[in-house]
Amino acid sequence: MALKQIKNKIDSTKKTAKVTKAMEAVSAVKMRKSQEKALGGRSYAGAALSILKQLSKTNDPALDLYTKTRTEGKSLLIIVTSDKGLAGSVNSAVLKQAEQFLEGKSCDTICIGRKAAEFAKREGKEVIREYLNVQDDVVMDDIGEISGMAMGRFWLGEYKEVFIVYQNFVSTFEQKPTLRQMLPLKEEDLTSMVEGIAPKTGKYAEEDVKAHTALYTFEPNAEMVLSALMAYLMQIMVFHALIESKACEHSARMVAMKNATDKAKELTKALTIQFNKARQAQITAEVSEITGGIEAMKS
Amino acid sequence: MKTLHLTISKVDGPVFEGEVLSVTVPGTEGEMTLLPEHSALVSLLKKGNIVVRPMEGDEKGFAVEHGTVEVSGNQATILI
Repeated sequence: MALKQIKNKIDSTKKTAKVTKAMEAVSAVKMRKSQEKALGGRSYAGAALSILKQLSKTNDPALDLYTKTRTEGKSLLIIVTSDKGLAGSVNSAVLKQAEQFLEGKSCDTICIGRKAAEFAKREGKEVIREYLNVQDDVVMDDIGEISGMAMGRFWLGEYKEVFIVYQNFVSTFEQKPTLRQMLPLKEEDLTSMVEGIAPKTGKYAEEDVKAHTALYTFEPNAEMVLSALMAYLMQIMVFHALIESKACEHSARMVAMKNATDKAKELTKALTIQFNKARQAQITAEVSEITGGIEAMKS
Repeated sequence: MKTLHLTISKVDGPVFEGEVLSVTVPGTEGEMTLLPEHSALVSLLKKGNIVVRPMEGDEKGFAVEHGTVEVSGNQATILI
């Protein structure tokens, strides 16, 4: 390769490294913010859960509507992914799980994120609503709309079950695609979600969720409280899924960009060696030409 | 003096947390004031104002559209 070409290649690799380095730093900050936000919802989730547990003990017939397994109707899957790529396998893992779930099922979807919408269209599933460009600080209006839509249609009997699939944040280097049943409500799913809000290790790992055990008086009545509470719980689940997948997206992008930066640096090193060798070869050739010329003139 | 531990939170984060002397909430069955050692209760809230009287400092008001209040074991949680 000519000297000039190698030189250009080194320059462009260095520039790429700068870009990926900047993206890494930005993702690190965004990841931290998303993590903090995910924890903000914990007290809310804990309180709503303890009220629900208390309610389920009363065996109110109104509860059946939300907890009984149904046999007729379609399924609804809410798929949460990011809008942009360059984040490793974060989206493909979720979509793989979604694909497994959808196989052989009559199922509609609500898509959050561009990758999810593209996937659903490719699979030929009906998209009842899609949300693109969801910001990092998730807007509550959107969440209310999503959970309200899912719950309303379930209530009317159009769907027999509602699931949500998203990327769960375990730690910066580990993310797990997670499929959860939102409706009919399963206590295990909800409990594991509330517990799962805290990451296994790191800054926020040690806080506990408070457990209450009291006999409540309900005002105006258990049924009204229940339907309001269900709406809260649905919102929490959707909010949690969105925030978790944001945290995952950013941390996965951070790791991917770090790898890219390292690789670019390695490449720069290899190219520099190649450049030096080529330059040395050129100089040697020139010197031998000159000495060859002198020898020729002597004789 | 006895106090009540109050947490007011929204889905996306806590709004208020601390020891209070009393809190007044707009319940669907009428306005009520919760004092320390209140019996266990779950109630829905209607549109109105929550007035918090903290241990230290001035009264604080929060406007709510709807919500739920839960009281148990000298702890009150308001979800708005």
